[in-house]
Amino acid sequence: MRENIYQNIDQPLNNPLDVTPKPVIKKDRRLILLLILTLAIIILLVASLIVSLVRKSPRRLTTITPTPIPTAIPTVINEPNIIPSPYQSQFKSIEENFKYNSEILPPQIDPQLGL
Amino acid sequence: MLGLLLGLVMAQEASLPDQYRQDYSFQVSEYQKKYIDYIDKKEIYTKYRTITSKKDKIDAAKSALIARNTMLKSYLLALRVNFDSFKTLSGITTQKIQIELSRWEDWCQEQNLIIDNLNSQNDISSWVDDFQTKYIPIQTVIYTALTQNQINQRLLSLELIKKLAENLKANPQTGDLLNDWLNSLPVKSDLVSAKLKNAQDLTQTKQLSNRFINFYSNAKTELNEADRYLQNMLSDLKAVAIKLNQL
Repeated sequence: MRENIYQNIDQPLNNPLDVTPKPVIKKDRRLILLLILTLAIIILLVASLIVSLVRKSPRRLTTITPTPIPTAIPTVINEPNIIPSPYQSQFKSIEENFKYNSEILPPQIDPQLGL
Repeated sequence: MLGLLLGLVMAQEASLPDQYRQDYSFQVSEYQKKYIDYIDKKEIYTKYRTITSKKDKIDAAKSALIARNTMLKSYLLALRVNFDSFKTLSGITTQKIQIELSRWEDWCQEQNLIIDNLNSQNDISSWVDDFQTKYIPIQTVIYTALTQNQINQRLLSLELIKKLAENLKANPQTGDLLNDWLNSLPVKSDLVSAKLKNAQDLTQTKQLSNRFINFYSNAKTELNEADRYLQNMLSDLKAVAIKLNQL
């Protein structure tokens, strides 16, 4: 006669009927929020690390702004009113002579033309 | 009609050197047109090698050469007339250059008659060979004239500055302090003269028989330095004049 093996009901894990109630996971909303915040902080940290690394990279060309060279403020002496009137015409004629462009540049020609 | 009249009035108002400059600019554009036409005809001949394309090429070459001579002549004329603006102080050197320029103007004119009678490629080639040897003295006189004209312009500036300095010195208000300032002018004046002399010496650069040695950039450097001293002298005089106004 075949022997029926019965499970001991005192050992619930071995019960094929699985009568034990499933453990209900209590969803704690505050914990989830905390997790999300933590993840966001980690992502931001990683992103800032990457950005700072890229910026410090030696391959990146940086344009150096030259230090401004101090220049003397030009004295305003072109003002005709501050030059005495008897000399104004003489100054004017000298300046006009300076400005006149007497240079007529020669034409660029092809000396091989016709060959 | 009104526009034409206005144009005529404006043309009359333009100075003689300016008119010659305008004529030269017109000749430059004419030459460029003829030159492009010649290049086109030459390419067609190189491609097809026909008798007609060869004739077209020779005709285009003659037209372009005539246009080039006309342009060169108008340039030399503009350069010669431009001398008149400042030649009062330059003496015999300017006159010599003007005669030389005039001689090459005539030569360009004569060559146009010769080019008109060239009928084969061989004739044209031999004329071009001759032109290449003549172009070295032409360039020499061109750059000598350009340099001398600018020397003359600066000599005139120097003369005007000296006259102004004398006038300022003659003013009874000019005290010892200002006189000291004015006394430094002869040193700068000597420096200007030295720079202009250097520029003039460069025009005497010995030329090779087959190649033009261009001295103009070096002469320009000397002229620019002379300009610097002249500007400096003028600034000093302005300072003296302003000081006089404040006394």
